[in-house]
Amino acid sequence: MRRIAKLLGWAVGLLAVWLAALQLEVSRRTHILILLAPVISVAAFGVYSVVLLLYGVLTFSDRPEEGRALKQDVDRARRDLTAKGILEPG
Amino acid sequence: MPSKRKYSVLLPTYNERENIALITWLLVETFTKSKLDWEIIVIDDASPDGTQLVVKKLQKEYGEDRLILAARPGKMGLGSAYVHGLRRAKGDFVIIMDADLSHHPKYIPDFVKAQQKADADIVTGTRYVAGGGVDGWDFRRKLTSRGANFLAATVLQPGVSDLTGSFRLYRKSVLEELMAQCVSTGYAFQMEIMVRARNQGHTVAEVPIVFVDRLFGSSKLGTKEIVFFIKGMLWLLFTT
Repeated sequence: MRRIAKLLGWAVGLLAVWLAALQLEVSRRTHILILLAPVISVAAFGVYSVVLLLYGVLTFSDRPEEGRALKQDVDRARRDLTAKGILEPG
Repeated sequence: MPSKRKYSVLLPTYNERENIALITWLLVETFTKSKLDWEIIVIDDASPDGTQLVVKKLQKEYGEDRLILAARPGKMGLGSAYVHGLRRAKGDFVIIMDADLSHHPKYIPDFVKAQQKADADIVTGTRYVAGGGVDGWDFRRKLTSRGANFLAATVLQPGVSDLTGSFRLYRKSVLEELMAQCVSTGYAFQMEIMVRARNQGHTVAEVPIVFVDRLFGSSKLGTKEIVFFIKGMLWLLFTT
């Protein structure tokens, strides 16, 4: 099944649950909560995404030692390639 | 780890006269140390800086059977470069990496081990797991990279941590099959090939890699690239 079909399936399913929940005989306060549930869900998902994204950025490993190791390897390669006459000195 | 399998490295180049020599040297060192059978295929898009001259000198040193020059008449894009190079590849596995040294060849033995361990069709290098990382990226660049991967992972659910990474090892037959289906370019291409691979049930293993940005900010990522990426992602959402 295509990804969009799966996504729409979920959307229709959730909409049906929400519309059914709106028909329930509940207190006024609960009814308002159910009415606002989609907005609350979207906001919660937004907060979750931002937190997860920031966590991901802050834990994105900085590895300066790998930059230094590469520089050493490049210098080694350059010396040999220059000696072989493949790269010009300098 | 010695094996009878051959590994073909595809290196698309445009004005990489110095880098192509350096990366070839480091590749040869890695393959020799780990006793792997190898070949390197340089797909050069008519670089005006003499990249092909350097490749010819390298061929004298390492052999024309080991280092293959697959030249093209002009700049024609990354996806078609892989297709062009693949036609010349004789390996059982194909390694795709950047020729600008942001991907260090020393990780290749890890890719080979991971492939053998899981009998995987694809091994992808990831910057996001323990042992992986980057050097030379500021907050904004990290945020863009993370953001793109987070967005694509949420929308497309591919089950791979680094969707936009471009340091990968493929079983040759699998890459040929996938290349025939992929149409995206740029960052979206790496994403498309992985999404299609997962759809078709190919097995994917991951190995941590450190991406080194040698010339700070050299990996261009402007608004144009971001718009392309989002378009590519939405297109995949509707077509796969």
